[in-house]
Order: sequence, then C-alpha cells, then structure tokens
Amino acid sequence: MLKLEDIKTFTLNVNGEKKSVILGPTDVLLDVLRDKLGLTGGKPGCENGDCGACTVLLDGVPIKSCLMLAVEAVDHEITTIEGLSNTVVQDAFVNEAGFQCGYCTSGFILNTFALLKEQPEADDAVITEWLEANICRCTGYDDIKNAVKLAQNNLR
Amino acid sequence: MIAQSFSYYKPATFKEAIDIFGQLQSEGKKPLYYAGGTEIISMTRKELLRPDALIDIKEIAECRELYEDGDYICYGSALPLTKVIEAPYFPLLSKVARTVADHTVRNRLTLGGNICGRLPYREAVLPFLLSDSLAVIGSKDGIRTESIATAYDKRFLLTEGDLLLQLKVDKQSAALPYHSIRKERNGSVDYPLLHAAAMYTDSGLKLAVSGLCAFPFRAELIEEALKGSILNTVQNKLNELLPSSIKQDHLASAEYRGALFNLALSELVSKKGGTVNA
Amino acid sequence: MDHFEVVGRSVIRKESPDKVSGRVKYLNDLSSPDMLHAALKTSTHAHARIASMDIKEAAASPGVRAVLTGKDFPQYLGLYLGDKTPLAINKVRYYGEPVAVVVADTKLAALRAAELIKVIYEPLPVVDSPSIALKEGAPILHEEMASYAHISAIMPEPGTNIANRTKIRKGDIKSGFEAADVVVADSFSFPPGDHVAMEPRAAITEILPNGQVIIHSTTQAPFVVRALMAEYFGIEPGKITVIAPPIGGGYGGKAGIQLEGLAYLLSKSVGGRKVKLVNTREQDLISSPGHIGFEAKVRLGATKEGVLTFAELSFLFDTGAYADYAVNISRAAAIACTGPYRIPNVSCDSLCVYTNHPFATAYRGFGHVELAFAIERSIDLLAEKLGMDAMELRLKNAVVAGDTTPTQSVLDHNTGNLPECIRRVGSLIEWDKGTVIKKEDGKIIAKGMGCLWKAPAMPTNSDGGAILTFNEDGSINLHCGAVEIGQGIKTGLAQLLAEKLQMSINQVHVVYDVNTTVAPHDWATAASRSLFMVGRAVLDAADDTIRQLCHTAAAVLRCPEEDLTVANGMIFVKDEPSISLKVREVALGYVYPDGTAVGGQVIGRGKYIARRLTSLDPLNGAGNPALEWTMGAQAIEVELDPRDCSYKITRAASVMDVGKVINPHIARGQVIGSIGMALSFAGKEGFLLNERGQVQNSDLRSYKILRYGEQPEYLIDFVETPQGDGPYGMRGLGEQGVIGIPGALANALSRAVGKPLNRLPLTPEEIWKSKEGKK
Repeated sequence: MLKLEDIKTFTLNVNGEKKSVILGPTDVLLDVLRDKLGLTGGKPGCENGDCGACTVLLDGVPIKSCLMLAVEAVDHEITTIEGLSNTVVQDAFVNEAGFQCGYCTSGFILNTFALLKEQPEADDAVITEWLEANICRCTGYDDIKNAVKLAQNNLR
Repeated sequence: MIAQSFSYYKPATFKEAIDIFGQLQSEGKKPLYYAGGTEIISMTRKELLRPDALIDIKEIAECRELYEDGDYICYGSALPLTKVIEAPYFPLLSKVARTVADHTVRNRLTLGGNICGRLPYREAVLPFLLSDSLAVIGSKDGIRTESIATAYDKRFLLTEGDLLLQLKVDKQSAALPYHSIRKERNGSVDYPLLHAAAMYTDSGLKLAVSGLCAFPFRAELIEEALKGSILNTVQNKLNELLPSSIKQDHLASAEYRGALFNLALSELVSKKGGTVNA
Repeated sequence: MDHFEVVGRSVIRKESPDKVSGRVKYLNDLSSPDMLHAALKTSTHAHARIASMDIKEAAASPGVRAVLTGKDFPQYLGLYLGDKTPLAINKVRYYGEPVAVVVADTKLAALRAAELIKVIYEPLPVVDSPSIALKEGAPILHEEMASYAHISAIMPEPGTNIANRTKIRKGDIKSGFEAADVVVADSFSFPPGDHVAMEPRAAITEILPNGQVIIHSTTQAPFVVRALMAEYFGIEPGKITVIAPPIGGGYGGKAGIQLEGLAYLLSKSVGGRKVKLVNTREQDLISSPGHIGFEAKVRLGATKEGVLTFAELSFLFDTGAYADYAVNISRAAAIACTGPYRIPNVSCDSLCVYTNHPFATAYRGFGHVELAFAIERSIDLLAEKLGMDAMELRLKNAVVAGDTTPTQSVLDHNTGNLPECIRRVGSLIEWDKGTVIKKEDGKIIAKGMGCLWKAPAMPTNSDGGAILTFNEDGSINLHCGAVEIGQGIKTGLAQLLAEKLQMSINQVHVVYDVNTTVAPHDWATAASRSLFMVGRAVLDAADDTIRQLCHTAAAVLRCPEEDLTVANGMIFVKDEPSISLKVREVALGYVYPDGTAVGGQVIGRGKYIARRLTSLDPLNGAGNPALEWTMGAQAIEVELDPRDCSYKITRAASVMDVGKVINPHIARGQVIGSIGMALSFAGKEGFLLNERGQVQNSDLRSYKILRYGEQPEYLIDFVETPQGDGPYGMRGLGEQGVIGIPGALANALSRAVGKPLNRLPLTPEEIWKSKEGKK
C-alpha cells in the first residue's frame, strides 16, 4: 500500500520527461506543475474545477489539474501545454484568433487536442459536451468554435 | 492550494482499505475514502471538510470493474463517470450521468463518489433507484450484497468504515423504456433544480427525483397515486406525496421547483408505454 | 477611397505564438525563491463591528513573517474619493472585506496562518439596496465622509449614503411633459456582480535599499498606480516603477488601483522584501471590486407620432461599501443618460450610493450598459403604448449630427450614422419577418432591439505616447504605455505604424510588458481609447521618424529634405525613386564608406492629449466631456418555451459605426466578446445576496457565466463613417458591444411572454414569475 504521510520524492512523467519531485499528500497537481516544475502554462482560474484553465492531459485524457492530488499522477503520463508544439490545433487557434487575453487558452487547446485525437469526426454536440468544461470570458466562443472546426478540417 | 494537512493511503485491496480505515479511526483520526477527488479537494481547499487521512480506492480491483455477467451489469464504484457513460449497458444511467458536472470533471468524478458524496444531488443514484439493483459493500466482515431498497434511504446507509465497492443492476430492468428531464437555473453546467427520471414497466411508471427536495429519492407515493388517479389530482396534492417539503434556496424558489416538477410529471406520464427515449 | 496596405486587414495577433503555447508570463506565473507570500483574511459579515481580533496564534505559526490588521495601515485611500483603508478598521462594510493579512515564507504557510486568525464580529443592520440606503433613518455607512479627500469633479454628500450626484438639466421637463401624448413610467434594476476575468488580480512588490519601489501588477493602469502610490504614500514618483505584464482579462476590473497599495504596505512591513499577493477566485469575485448594481426610474414621453419630448430619469448606482470608480460611473451614465435619442427636455439625477454590498469599479461599458437597459426597455414600452413598431420608434428618434447630447454639447460631423446601424441590424435579424413567431411545438421565437452610444469617460487631460527605436535591420521597436489585455492593442498599433511607414508588419516589434520607468506616459488602458489616443501618438512618432530619416538622408543624397519620403524600407526622392537609401542604412546613423558617421540613431517620439474636453457644470451638467461617440444598434433573437420559460438565444446581431476598421478580425472579436459577456450578464449573472448581505455565489460553481455552446449565432457588421481626428478615421470599439444587449434581450423575452421584464438577470424563473403574475 502506498502511504504518504509527510513528504517523499516521486518521479512524474511530464511531457515525455521524467521529473523528480518532492510531494506531500495535500499537494495539488496544478501547484506542483507550476511551482515545482515551472510549467506555468496551466492556470489557476478558480482552483475549484469550474473553469478549465488548469486542464492537462493524464494519459491523453483531459482532467482539471486543480482537482487532483499530485501523488495520484505518479505512474501516469502528464501532458501540459508546454508539451505541445506547432500542432494543428495550436495553428488553428492562431489563424482563427481563438483567444484574446489567452489565460484560458492552454485549457481550451489541450481539451480540443484530446477531443480531436479521440473523436476526429466529433459533431457539434460532442464538441460542445467537451468544451463546455472550459470558460472563456473574452471571445464569446465564436472564434474558439471556428478554431476547433479549422483544426478538425486540417486534421482530416 | 489546500492549507490543511492530511495523509494519503492507496491500498491495493478493499481489505487493506477497510483495515487502514479502522486503524486510523482507532487512533482517533477521521479518515475518508477517496476516489475522483473532485468533491473532496474543493471542499478541503475551502475548509468545509477536514479529514485526517484520505484512502484512495482507485487501485482496488473490485472498484474498477465494469462488466455484464449473467443477469447483472456490474459497475465499480471508482469508475469515472465518463467510463460509466460510455458503457452501452444501461442507457438511462448513461443519460443521467452525462448531466453531472462537465466532461473534463467526469473524467475523474467517480460513480461511487457522486452517489455517496456530500452534495444533495447525487444524480447518478437515480437510475439505480429505479431498477432492481444491488449494492456490493465491503466491510470488516467481508463483502455483503444488499438490495438498494434496503441500502438506500435519502442516502446510502453505510456503517462508518464500510465501502461501497460496486453497484449491480438487473439487465432486464436496465433495458426498460425510460425518460428523464433535467432543469437548471440557466445553463446546463450546473446543479439541477430538478432531475426527474422515469422507467416504464407493465405495472406503471417508476419515478426517482433529485434536486426537488434536500435528497434524491424514489417517488413511490407518486407512482402509486398515478396508478389510481388522474394526473391533475396527483399534481394538486404534491405536498402529501413527496418525502419532504420542496427545497427553497438561492437557486430557485420552492414554487418554481414545484412548477417544474409538475411539468416534468406531465411529460413523463405522456411518454407512458413509449419506447426507449435517448 | 483611400488604399491601405496594412490597415483594414486581419493581421494575426502579434502575441499568437506565445499565447497558444502557454509561454506568456502572466503575473502569477512569476516567482522566485526569495519571494514572500501573502494571504488575506476576509469578513464573513456584510456589516459588523469588529469586536476583537486575535492574531497571536497566526503570528506564531511556522514561516510567518508578519500578520497585519487594519490598525497597522490607518491611511484612507481611494481612486477619486479616499473612503477606504487597505484593511478594514473597527468595522466591516461588506461580505468578503479584507480584515487582516499574513505574510509568510510560502503561500501554504500564509494560508495556514490566515486560518488561525480569530475575529469576533458584532453584526450591524445591513443596507441592502441603494433605495434603502437613501431612506430616512438608514444606517450611514461612512460617518467620516466629510473628512474624505476627493477630486473636484465629484460631489459627495456627507451625512448621507450618497458618494456622488450628477445632475443633468436640459430644456424644460414641464413643457416636454405637456407636449407628450403618451407617457410611460417604470422601474428597472439588477444586482451587483463581477467581471470574472479569468486571471484573478495579483501584485508583487518590493522596496529596494535605494528606495525604489517595484510593483508588478495585473493592472490596466500602471501610470494611475504610479501617480496614486506617490500621492498616498508620499513616495517620489521617480522612485516607483510599475510593471504591467499582459493581463488575463480586464474589462475595467483591473483599471484604477487594486491590490497595489496593500502589497506595497506588506513589503514595507517586512523590510522591503518581495511580497506576492494573489487573489483566490473567491476573493477576486467578492473582496476585490466588481460590476455595479443599479436601480432606475424612467419617465419617457412622446407625441402620438412617436417623437420623444422628454425624459425624466433617476439612476441609483449601487457602489457597495466603497466608491472606487463608481463615482465616475454614475457621472458617465448621466452624460449619456438618454441613450442615443434626440430628446429636447431631459432631467436626470444620477447618484452613486453606498450599500453593504461588495464594492464596484469600472466595468466594460462604464455606466452605459446600465442606463441603456433602462432606456431601451422604456423605448419598447413606449412603442407598445403608441402602437408603433419598436424599430421605427428608434429610427425616428435616433441622434444625428447637429443634435445635442444631455450635456448640451453638439454632435459634430464626426457623429456616426445611427439610423444606418438600425436599418442594417434590422435587416440582419430579419425584423420585418416578424418579432414574435409562435412555433408548432409551442415555443416562441421573439426578437428585441437595443441601441447604444458611448464616449470615453476619462479625465479631460487624458493622453498617450509612443517611442520608436530601430534595430540594425531597419525594423522598429514600438514602446507605449498601453497594456495588452486581450484586446489586441499591440497588434492594432503595429498596423497603424506599418501603414504610416509603408513597411511590413513583421518589421514592427512590440513590447509586451509596460514599465512606467521606460514607457511614455499613458493615462490608462480603459474607456476604449487606446487605439485612438495611443494610435495618434504612434502616428505622431511615425511622422517624427520620417522627418529624422529624411533629414539625415537629405544630406547623404544631397537633395531637399522635403523631396524625400519613406516606404518599403527605403528613403527615396518622391519623383525619382532610384535616388534612395535603405532605412537600415540611416536608422542607426549613416556611415560613409570612409567610416565617417552622421545623423545618429533615429528615435521617434509621439504624443497625443485629448482635444477640447471640459468639465461639467454642477447645476445642469452642461459641458463637453466626450472625445468621440461610437453609435450602434443591436438585436437579439430568442426561442422560449412558455411552459417553464427556459430559453435559448438563437441569434445576436450588432452593427456599430466605428469609423475605419483597423483589423476586421480583431474588431469582430471585440464585438462578439462584448455580446457574449453582455448576454451572460443579462441572463445569468449577479450576486445572490441573502438577507444578511452575504454573497451566496462566491465561486464559479455558483456564479454562472456563459459557456461554450450557449453562444448564439453572431451577425456582425460595421458602418465606417470616418472619425475626423481618429487614426485613419477609426474610433473606439472595445466596450460598446455590451451596451445594447441587455435591453435587447429583455425586449425580446418581454415580447415572447407578453409581460414587461425589467429586472436582471433574466433567469427562466424570473421570466416565469412575471408571466404567471407572481412576486
């Protein structure tokens, strides 16, 4: 049985790299990624699982890193926005201006990335089901919708 | 960031889980079983919950199972709702569970966590209340199986330290025609003002409701009344037929919740004898 | 028509690669091991005396460097009215008000210690609305008001809960009333709420041994912060450096001064060490200021032909516990009080009123969303009473050049074409195909319209500046004081510069962080005036650059300076382009083949200050406070289920006259974003306050905003009547898209249910109650 009563060193797999980190039982994954690994692309928007700005992929599946203990991520593959580079989804967000202030953008991109990987032919209902997990206050969602559609087309 | 302190245990078997729970308790500590974390992390961050230890049940084999076998479909309590929704066995459960939180949260939020949680909605229990289902519970004395009719009244009646391992549903009842209606204040990613789920049998409509009262319930009195009276009569004497008064809070008045429920009843009754609705 | 190379094109935002890769460093992304961390303790009561506060246990908690309470910081601060201490002293005036703060080695240690502070409150009667605040015998929330310092443009009324009153008296209400055949009178209201910028507010401050105060802040107004910090704390302005990185959404909520004062005091209390103070979401929602609440009474009259004759208006702005920007919001609403309609006789009393609600600051639209909701509903009520089409009534009374505003200033030839906006929006939403349509399934499709106008509400001496420096390849670095808040300002300014210098946009480099010690002065990134005012400064700097380039080149090319021009990276003789030099050969000084250098580097300087703005007459509001007016018309289509009154917003149309559109994609994005925000505000938002004034929805689980999938189809168009003094004819558009929407939504839903809906938010239950005639 894994016991974590104080602090201990663990290895996290982040963006394809093994990272050694000291974790306590109450450490939340978002804080560890940001404060201990310097991966600040995921944002604290609510720390309550409501806004999606902290979304990362856990074994390819989007999760809210503010609602997960870091110790739970041991033995899993974590992907943060820093792990994506020049992807079709990112290019689409640039070309359709699928962001304004940019604070929610990492979350939207990672969620879209996972969605189009799992369901390349996702229809509007499925896209909405996935993306309603993220809040954007700037765009009114239109350019995000256009970005997702563009990425979907370009991936075909 | 969580400011309080607790320890974390990840047992490999339910026996280990129950043992460590008992051990921590005997040390005067307050342990909690932990699965998806979506509720416990936000509540501990807000200091609404102060556990001394979390016992993560996600590694326990029984809690992760999902299969159909003979007469039953078996759902492990630590399955994330996404997995439950994607399973093709119980369409009403898929439909109801799909309305909880949002897609990303459902990738973590578990079936058992939703059903045994502290929030008053616990919507995923509704389909189980409507079907012949069994709760598989681990305890100091081993595993026992109880009918949901005896294991649930307003909430799961678990002795402290007992762990809900699985829920099993009779395949025939899972395949019954169904309909469900969920209403929110204004926007779908929210707690329900009303979530009414119905299944249709030869002997009448079965109804379970969340959001309306302070807890989810099987509306047996209403089911009976619908057999004997016309709908209007039932709707006019809701107060007598509900297990408690209708909830009034910052999300909605009791009056509006009552009106939503009556509209839902009309719609559910009108579907009577219909085929399965997606 | 002018031909433009860069202006008018949807150039991709300069910051795109960094924003899609998570590489933009927002304030909270900055950290260093030497940094201390602060955590706030906030009030659990809306109005209470602080009977006792015990900080002993917190102070003894591991890692704690300081625990500070209100008594440690007795100075009163405030943007326009000094009514607030950094931490509450003796009493709290709103739920969530900071009462103490801990500074510790780590954030965790600070949070843990904050939990250990014990406060005992003695509850006081809660002032629950502005109208209650004005009643005889209501508790006075600021007994010391007479001693508060304030700017001369506002008029607090000591002994009352009135923080400011602005009076508009134009024409003669009595004769306007007599000329009216039809009069409508009604009340309108909504509760206070929040901006919900995705990035919570934060500040990092340190005081160096040489006395330099360095403040990193999520601010839209770094120069306001510098000026006020100097004033509040008696620091030499040159000893203050404010650094504003790109911010994660502002919407007005990061204008003025926010956490900076407290963060400075915290640093001071720990010997100048670097202290980081970050709001949690809950604190950002309720402890820091949000969107103002509103109560209005409107009387509006017209002849039977539908010609407006008078408007009698009472606006009560609910500023909550402290005034902040709100004293100017109520003033801005008075300036524009009638909406964009020709009304000869106007009386308006616009009051900023204290209550025990979370306090308010600037919010996109700055008083105009509020007044427009009341006016646009009233226009529809009047149309109904007149038996006239609501769009026709708007067209008939829409302002045009030559009309006067409520402050009696004449709208000049730069005035946008509002009638054209109304006609186009009517056509986009297919107004003529019916405004209420019953569907076979029982649902009702309904449409509503709302008009808007807005001028920047800003000091009469608001300014902007730009400095251009060159790199070895002839590319330019553009320095200015405007903050990138998501509006795309740096890209827009780069476009203006590239157009003016006839160069590639890729050769313009923008500087993201604004540093007040190196950037030219800029009033603030607010009031939708940055592209206009900083834009003017950029064009001025470009002219200066051209002059300098041509001056040096003239000597080298041995030709008159005035015969030279600059384009495509070249300086050349206009009528003989083969006589030329490359810009890069001159920009850092021209070097002759023998090594002799002349000219020196080119540094372009540009500036702009608002033109001919005046203050208002305190008796009747007469004056010229408006730089430029953006006009527009908007419309909403809804589909409502009359049984439970749930509804879907199906289409939203907007046509604004913004003068020349500099970047169509960004402009459209600003308007759509505004509409989304306004629909969210009007349909969902607002604090849910209990009878003790406590906010029931202080997180994003319960404070609901628009989500993906709830947005309508957006139909966006622009009219481009040039603004004579705007860069390339443009005028501001960042906020205006919010203004007409709440009225349009309420008009559509009122039409759908056949009952007047005069309160926001328009939740299904609110609509259902009106429809069923319930309280």
